[in-house]
Amino acid sequence: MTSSKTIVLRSSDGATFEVDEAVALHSLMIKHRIETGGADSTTIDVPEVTGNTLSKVIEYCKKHVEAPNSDDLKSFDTDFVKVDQAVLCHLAKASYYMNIKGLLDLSSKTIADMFKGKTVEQIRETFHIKNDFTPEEEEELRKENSWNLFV
Amino acid sequence: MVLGLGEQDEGRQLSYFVGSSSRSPSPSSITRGLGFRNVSPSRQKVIKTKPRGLDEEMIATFAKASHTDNVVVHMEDNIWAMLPEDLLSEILARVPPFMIFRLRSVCKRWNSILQDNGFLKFHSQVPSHGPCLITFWKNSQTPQCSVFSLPLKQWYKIPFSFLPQWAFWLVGSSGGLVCFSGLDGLTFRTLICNPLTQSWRALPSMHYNQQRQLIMVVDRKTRSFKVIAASDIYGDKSLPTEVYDSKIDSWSVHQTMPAVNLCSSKMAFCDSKLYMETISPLGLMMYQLDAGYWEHIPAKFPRSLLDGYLVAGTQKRLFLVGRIGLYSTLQSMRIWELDNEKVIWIEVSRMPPRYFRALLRLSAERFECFGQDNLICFTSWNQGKGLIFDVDKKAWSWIAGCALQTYNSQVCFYEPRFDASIY
Repeated sequence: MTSSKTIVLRSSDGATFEVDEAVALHSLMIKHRIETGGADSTTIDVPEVTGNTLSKVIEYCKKHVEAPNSDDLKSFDTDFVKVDQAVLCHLAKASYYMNIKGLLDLSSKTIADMFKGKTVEQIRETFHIKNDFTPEEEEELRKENSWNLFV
Repeated sequence: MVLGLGEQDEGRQLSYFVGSSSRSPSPSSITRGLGFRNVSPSRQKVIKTKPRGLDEEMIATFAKASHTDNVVVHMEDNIWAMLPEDLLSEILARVPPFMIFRLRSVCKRWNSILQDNGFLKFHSQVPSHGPCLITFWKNSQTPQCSVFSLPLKQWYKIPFSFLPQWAFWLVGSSGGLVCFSGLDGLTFRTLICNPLTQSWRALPSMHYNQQRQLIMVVDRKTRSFKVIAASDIYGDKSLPTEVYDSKIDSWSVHQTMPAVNLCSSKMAFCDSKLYMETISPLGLMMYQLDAGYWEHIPAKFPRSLLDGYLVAGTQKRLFLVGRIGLYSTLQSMRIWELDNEKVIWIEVSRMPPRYFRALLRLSAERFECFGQDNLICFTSWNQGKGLIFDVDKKAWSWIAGCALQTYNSQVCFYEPRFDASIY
């Protein structure tokens, strides 16, 4: 019924989502695929993103494309990232792969806020990072970066 | 948190003047900020007594309260381990600047991220952390420098040993850069630094290189800065105005300020114009930076004005701040704005009496006033307090957790930025 073109997005686990082209173009990655895809560009594969995440991403794009100036956009964004960590992480990765700047900003900022109060050890554990400093180097760094919480 | 040992946990508090941590409830932080209290990390009591003179406190909140404020969020291992590097840079660029230093100790890769061009690019596009105050105090040889973050309500001590010995006067701060001046022997010198990157460089000498009143302005669009040397109330008034431009790394000489009697050395820079107060003729002396010449503006000061602080606001607004009234019992602190035609000062706000009484117990008490981005800050050294007026919101509030304990500190607003370049 609608005159606008629709695109089908296929997630890594085979789920398909039909969206308006305008909404799909909010992702610069998809925009690029469509522009360079030629005739067979009505179905786009997004193998980096699972169905659950893709459906949330589409929800974000819909809101931002269809009502970019609405007053509740800010509260939509705030509520959008009130999700558990796994979902947030997947959203951030999806926004990165699909090149959706607004969602990347939003999810990155939310994750950055989670760093508050963490010790270096806790951060290493979380990101599975090996401490490759020697004890002397570490001591030197600690002295240099003594941004302590005191006056 | 114990000084200098191990990992720093932000939730802990120290003795002396403590800022409120992300875990403590706000109202208690003000009472704790006044007076010495040894609060050991394991016992954080809420102190009920309120100091005299403060019948209610409004805490300045510059950051939206997020659901993560009082909770250390546990980040599950397997979810986060496989983040692509670019995405990691995007996230790190949004971590408050003060926390980034802690992250440098995580591993070598994260340590080098700070110097990485990609990271700086991300960081320069991220909105500002929020208003901070930088305080500077030099006790014979050792500089003491601290930064108070208003959004985080916390103090951070910046190692300032990287500055040369002669750095003595805090000229000002803009766009993440801080300018100092001082006497190197008998030679007057100026420097620019970025406290976050611990980098600095001395500016070349002026053509008429004497101790002068300076003001620094940054242009973020062109990523450059200028320093203006104008006449001050005590100095040699025959010296021409000089302007340093970082784009050409040199000073240029401009018109000498016409012979007027300045009534103070207070200056404000706004909309490419520098303003100074004059008593005869009464009004403002305005220097057009682009054109390079001075012009007098005969805008009369409000009657019975005791002190006149000039504060530049956003969007070309210029404010005048000071007390009215000769008799201490009838004094009030007011804020005026210069109208568009630059003819008259229009009253914008008055400090509510309870704040005024709390800020200045004695009429002769010294206070400082400065501002940036439509925030006007009042500090009273005897009280160790800071008060902020938000011009846009028309709201007065104490700066929570901000105990300015050093009597001789110089202070100004500061915006922490890694990408601010000293060149």
